[in-house]
Amino acid sequence: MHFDRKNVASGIVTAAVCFCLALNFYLNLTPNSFAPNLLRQLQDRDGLFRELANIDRLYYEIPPDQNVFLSFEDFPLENEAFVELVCYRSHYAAYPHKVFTSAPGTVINRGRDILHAPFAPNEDWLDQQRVSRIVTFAQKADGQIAVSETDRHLR
Amino acid sequence: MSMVWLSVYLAAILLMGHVIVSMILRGERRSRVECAGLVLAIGAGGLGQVLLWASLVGFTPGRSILAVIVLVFGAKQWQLVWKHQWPWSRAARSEGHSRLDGLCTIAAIAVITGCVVMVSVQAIALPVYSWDAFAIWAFKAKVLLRESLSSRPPYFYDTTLSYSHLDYPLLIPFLMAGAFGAMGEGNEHLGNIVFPVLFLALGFQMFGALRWKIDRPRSLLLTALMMSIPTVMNWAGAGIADVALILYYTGSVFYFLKWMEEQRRADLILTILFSVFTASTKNEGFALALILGGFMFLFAASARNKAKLADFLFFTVGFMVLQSPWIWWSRAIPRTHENYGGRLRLSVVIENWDRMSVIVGEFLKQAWTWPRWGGVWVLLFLVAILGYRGFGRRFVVVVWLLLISQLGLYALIFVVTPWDVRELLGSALDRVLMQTLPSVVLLVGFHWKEINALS
Repeated sequence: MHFDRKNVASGIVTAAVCFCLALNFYLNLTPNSFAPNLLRQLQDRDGLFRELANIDRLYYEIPPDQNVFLSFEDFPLENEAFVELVCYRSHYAAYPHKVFTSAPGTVINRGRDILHAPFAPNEDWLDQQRVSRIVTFAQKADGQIAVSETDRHLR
Repeated sequence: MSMVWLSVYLAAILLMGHVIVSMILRGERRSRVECAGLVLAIGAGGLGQVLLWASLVGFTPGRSILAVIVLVFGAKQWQLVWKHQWPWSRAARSEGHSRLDGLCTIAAIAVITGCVVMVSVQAIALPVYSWDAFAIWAFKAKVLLRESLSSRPPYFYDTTLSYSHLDYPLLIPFLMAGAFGAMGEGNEHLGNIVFPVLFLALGFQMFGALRWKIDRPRSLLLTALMMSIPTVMNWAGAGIADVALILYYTGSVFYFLKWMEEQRRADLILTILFSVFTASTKNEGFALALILGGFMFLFAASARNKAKLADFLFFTVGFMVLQSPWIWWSRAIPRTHENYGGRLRLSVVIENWDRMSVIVGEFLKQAWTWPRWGGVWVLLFLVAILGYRGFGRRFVVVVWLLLISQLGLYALIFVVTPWDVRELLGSALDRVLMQTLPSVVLLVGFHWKEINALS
């Protein structure tokens, strides 16, 4: 092997590619990266995904063709992310049942759209939409969040 | 029983992919790895498209449709076997590799296998936990499983669900709905089975594309490098569409380059299919397909060659014909979310132009974030400098221009976005930059080839 400029350039690139590959390997294994996180998620599925499972549980055993009304009380804008999580997960988990959070026609692109457009429908509207369960998330003064779940009879 | 039907779902992807690829290549032989990538990518894309068309005429994804697909494509496959029509050939044994090359090959294969296994575990063993996965993709899949598009599901017109991007194209949701339909239940874990398939296809596809110009050990090293990038690993099995977009964009760029250099009709047809699948995966995929079409037109027009202009026309017509059912059906969906197409006006660009410095700064900062990208961006600049002779090759220049156009497109999107630009950059920039990886990795390979050609 002779060391001319071309061989050196080729060697540098090969070494750089191998270094990058080794770096990826390290970055995927280092604490709090992909592989350890995956392992932790597998070992403690119930614990790590409890927040999602708790939301999903609110929509178990809803009778066919009946729906849910979801409301948020006293949430500040700083807690927008939580409102988004609950709202988006609820729509996903409850489907094919509908989860009403805002007046029909309201454009909801993020949590603040829900918080800025509070919706308090009357009993007739709830009956028309076949709402048989009301789920309320309320944030207390000390920051604790309470959730209540009430079934209602359709008239 | 549901496992049997899940096998039918996977068989539908494989049979559809194999038959379509065999028919496109018609006697032309490609390497086994390239064919494997084509079969998986086109099989998945084809299945998603067929489920979309079936839904448009009133059939939801389910066992009966999958059974029909397996029967029809199985019969066609039998006919092709009877005629000894196979698209693949045994690759010529490459000679003269050193022991170091052998070691690199083994290491790269081990890394790729490890990545595919971990992504499969992430996709199948965990619930759908990523916000975008359940708020957008899996939610749409649930809707499509129950309601056909012909019935105009209320979901698509409900602005209280606007956050879920009502107007996003439906290839990935249909593939997930197909898996749900196969199992006859909303099993969200196994509904994600398509993501490891797409990730594996991405590996085959990228390797096949790199093998066009560089040898096997180097192609494998770069494929392993791309698949193991932390950002790719994080998102590949998370139930979102970005890795599928990378897969289809890799295919459209690679076959476009091959058509440009070798003028084969099969490569043109593959460019059309991959561009359609790119556009059917995410809205930005449509813009990427338009950019590719623009480059094809420039190439054909500058060559002043009637055959090449006819090929461009064929691309345009083919793309529009395959894309038109979705364009036609989705025209009434309210554009109440980002609606970048509608916001892309000169007045908005001028008004928000001061965002550009923030955007460029964040792009650069992100590219240098090692825990997310490893050293791939640094590697690109190093290889481009050392392999500067690559700039003398037309296909290398075209990939650079595609990369610059793609980055320009994304910068423009951030300029006109109705969101707080810093907030959006913080949450979406890693996925946006991930979509440029096909061009980045191809460029590393092409410039590397120039260095090797010297030595």
